[in-house]
Amino acid sequence: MIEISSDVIRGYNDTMILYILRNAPSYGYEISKNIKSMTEGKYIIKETTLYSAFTRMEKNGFIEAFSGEEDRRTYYRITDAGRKFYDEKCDEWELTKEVVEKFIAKKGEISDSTEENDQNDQNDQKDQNDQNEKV
Amino acid sequence: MDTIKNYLETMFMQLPNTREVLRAKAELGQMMADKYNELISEGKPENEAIATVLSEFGNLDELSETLGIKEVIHKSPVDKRVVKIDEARAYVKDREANSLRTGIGVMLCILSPVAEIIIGKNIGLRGFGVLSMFMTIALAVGLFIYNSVQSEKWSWMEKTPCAVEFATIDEINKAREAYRPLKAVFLCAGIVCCILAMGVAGAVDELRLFRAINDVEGIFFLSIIAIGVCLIVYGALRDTAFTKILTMNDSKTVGGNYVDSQKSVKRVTKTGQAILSVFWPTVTCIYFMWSFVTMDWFITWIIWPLAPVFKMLIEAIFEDTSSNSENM
Repeated sequence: MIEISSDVIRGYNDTMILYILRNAPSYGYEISKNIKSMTEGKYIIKETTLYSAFTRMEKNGFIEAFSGEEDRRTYYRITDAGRKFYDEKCDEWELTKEVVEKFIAKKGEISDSTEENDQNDQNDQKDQNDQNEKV
Repeated sequence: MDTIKNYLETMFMQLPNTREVLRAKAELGQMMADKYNELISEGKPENEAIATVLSEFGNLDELSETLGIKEVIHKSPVDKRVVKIDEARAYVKDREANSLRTGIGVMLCILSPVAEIIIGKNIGLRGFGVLSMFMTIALAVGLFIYNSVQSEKWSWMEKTPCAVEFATIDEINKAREAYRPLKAVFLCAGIVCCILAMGVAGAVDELRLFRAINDVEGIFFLSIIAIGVCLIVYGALRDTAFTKILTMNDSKTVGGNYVDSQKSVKRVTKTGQAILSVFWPTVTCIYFMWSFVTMDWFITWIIWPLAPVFKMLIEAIFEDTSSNSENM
């Protein structure tokens, strides 16, 4: 199974967290749960990654920490500087995507996978023949 | 859930005890607890939930910059020997037996003139009286020497800097809390005995009880004192086993602040160790020298309940501070 490269995603953890905080203030586990469900489980953010992103963004003034009224959890809310930073990151990603995309071969062009498919088809046919013989 | 807590505490054990580190620990702990609780409520088996939480925790390296703990994380953990939970249990158990032997030894020392009074003065076998007295003393000294040989098994705790994990601290602290009321009972009963001894001996003398027995008030006085002092010595010494384990971690690290009763690192220098290894035989010597020179048996026993205090004083004077500064 292909896994996400942590080196690549590192630069965009902040973007994901800020995206979630744009809607409403939230706390650690809820944010990680949201990231997991929005990516259909393809990306699970580690607790230490999340916490270091919190402290870094707090230091930069992108988010603010406050303690919850009903529970003892630390909640975070986005600041104006954070919203601005988020917009910049979105633009940056658009550009990055556009550039990298030019070097990504389309699925149909990959010869290996097509051959594999052909072979699978043949195997299927063979299986069917076998079954017919048995009948 | 205990596994998760232990995991987190162990990860943070060597880190400095700063506000940033404590905040990180609290918040990471909260996230892990939230995740664990949700997995359990989804019907996941406990093992699986724990495995998921631990595998998704990440790596403290990521926090090193924000917490300013780079040096600590990359410092090799070799310089501290972790005392395993079984070792801690065995140590506490050993020290308990050790304290009891010391208590009994002290009791025998105080009782030795009683042996002389009974066999020598009352039964009339003068030579045997003195003999029995010295045999009692010999038995006590034997117990003290056996103790110091026994405790050599644990001398590595003084020689090498040690550390204990959260689970160990937790268990030992609970054991100490459970012992606390018992200790109070031992000490109170011991002190009451010492106070009562005089009164009982006086009453026996005043009311002319057991007149047939020679020096009966002396027998009563010393016997009650012996029991009282034994209780005090045993009660006080047994507690030091818990303290030893609980104060192993450096108080400047998270590991040194798991429970309130943890105070500071206490290790004794080589000179201190040498003095302590002959501590009880020395006290015995002083006691009998004083007693035989003055023959004030009714007051010289006071040395015994004071002995544990002197022992702690020696430990404080010869405290090895070199390992603390290494950790700075």
